[in-house]
Amino acid sequence: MKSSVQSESKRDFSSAEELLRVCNLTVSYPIAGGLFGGSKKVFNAVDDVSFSIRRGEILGLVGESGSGKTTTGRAIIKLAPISGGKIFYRGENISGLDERRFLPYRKKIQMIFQDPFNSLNPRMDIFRIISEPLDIHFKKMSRQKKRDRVAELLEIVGLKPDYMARYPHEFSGGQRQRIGIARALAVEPDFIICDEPVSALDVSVQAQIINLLQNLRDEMNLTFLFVAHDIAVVEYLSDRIMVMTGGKIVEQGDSREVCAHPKHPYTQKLIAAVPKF
Amino acid sequence: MNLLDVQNLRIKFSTRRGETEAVKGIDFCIGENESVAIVGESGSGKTVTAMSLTRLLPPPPVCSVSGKILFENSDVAAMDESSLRKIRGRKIAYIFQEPSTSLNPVFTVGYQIAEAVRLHFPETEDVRKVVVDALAEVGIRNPELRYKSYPHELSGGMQQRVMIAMALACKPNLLVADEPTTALDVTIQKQIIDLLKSVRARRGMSLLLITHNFGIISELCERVLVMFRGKIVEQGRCADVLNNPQHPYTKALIGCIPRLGMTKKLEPIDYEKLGAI
Repeated sequence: MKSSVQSESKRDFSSAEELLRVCNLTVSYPIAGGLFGGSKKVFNAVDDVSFSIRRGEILGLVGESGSGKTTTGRAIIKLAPISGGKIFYRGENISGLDERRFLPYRKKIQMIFQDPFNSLNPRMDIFRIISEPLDIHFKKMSRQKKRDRVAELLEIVGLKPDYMARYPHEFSGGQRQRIGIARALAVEPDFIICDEPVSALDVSVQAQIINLLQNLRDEMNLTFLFVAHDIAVVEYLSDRIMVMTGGKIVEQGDSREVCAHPKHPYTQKLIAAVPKF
Repeated sequence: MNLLDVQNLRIKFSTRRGETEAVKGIDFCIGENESVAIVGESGSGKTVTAMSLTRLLPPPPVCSVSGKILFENSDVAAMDESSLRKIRGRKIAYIFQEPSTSLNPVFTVGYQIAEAVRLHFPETEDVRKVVVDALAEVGIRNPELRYKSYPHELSGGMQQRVMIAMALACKPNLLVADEPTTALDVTIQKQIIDLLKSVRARRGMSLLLITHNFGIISELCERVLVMFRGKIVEQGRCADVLNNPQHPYTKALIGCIPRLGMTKKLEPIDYEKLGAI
């Protein structure tokens, strides 16, 4: 009995290196007051959130709109202002760094966005889109080397190398998401934050991208924070799940375990709401 | 007798690159008080099929519709505009995917529902009461107060309830719901599904649900039609089609959707293998 449960649960990463640790992260926005309006009122989009991710792990972050899941992901790479708490990357505190000192971490930590139609610049060809991060992080790389690297990246994500001369509008949603993934992989990151990477895609394309992310993890030992609202997708892809609502993480654990035996009332409500077939 | 009987429906669009046939000769029917789903990926022709039922598609030469659309034994496809207006919105009502773009931002929701009631039932004495009752029926608290709300003052779920109230205010025989919950959070989606269920139980109305979510189908519908490249490739009772799909496309479509507790690997649809169909 025990063994069958074991085979169904996900991989165990407890002995792997801790890549990222988030301690008491808070992101707040002013909602009223200030300057002439009397005392400031703030809204905590992310409210005292702590978690850690180990190397090679896929950590799912699930929640409804407004739960703070996207802001949590963005705060890690300074796309949202941190108002409290600390973020450690391989033991180094990266939360207080200025932009110049944070730059090396921008290479280590990359992001994949939700909407493949808005996250690619329509005026750039695919070569420029994918090689732009190389211009910043590998300044001395020759143009020929860059072309080889872009060709290699396109192949990794399942596209033809000669697509690099084309423009975003020539591609479908799934292909654009692959281009976004190639761009994230360009600078050889360790850790990728995916913000709803499949929710704008058709179901079959969604399955392709999910499988691609899983293969990348297996082949390159990448680590993912996978932010999404579709709990079935998150359960399928992630080793561990965190459930977020109202800016707080209310439950976390092995993804199969959380979905099969949710403990927190909110998680129970969320899972009960998923239509089953 | 069937409420709706569609025979050999073909929908063609003229584009600069020539003609494309979006719907390639489909036949289906919906009985009195029956709930039917059309499922398929984007581009399969499911939305244009739904829109053709009350001739919401652009007129020729942009779009040409052929075949018979028999609603209560009269052919919608051959009807003059004035007879059509007695069906459109009155006997066949629609709710669409994105409630925020379907509502007019400059009028109160009450006014917008009242407009529909006045148009179809000009003899109504107390329009306001009909509207307030409609808002109450879809579970909006304080309907008297909400009558005066503008769309932006309501959440997405509330806006969708308003859309449903508007559709139901004219007591339609057939409600066409095109991806009614795709833009909503899963717990709100559940509320909308439960609402549609209870309305059907109370009123005995037919429902045509367009979606790509199999879970919602099994919650709401008795029969399902699977569309692929403009054709119905399989139809039958929901439980039969979902648990024991016969057509390779249906099997592939079900196999590429992640479900809670799934241990099998996701398989994206192999369109080349399906090419011959």
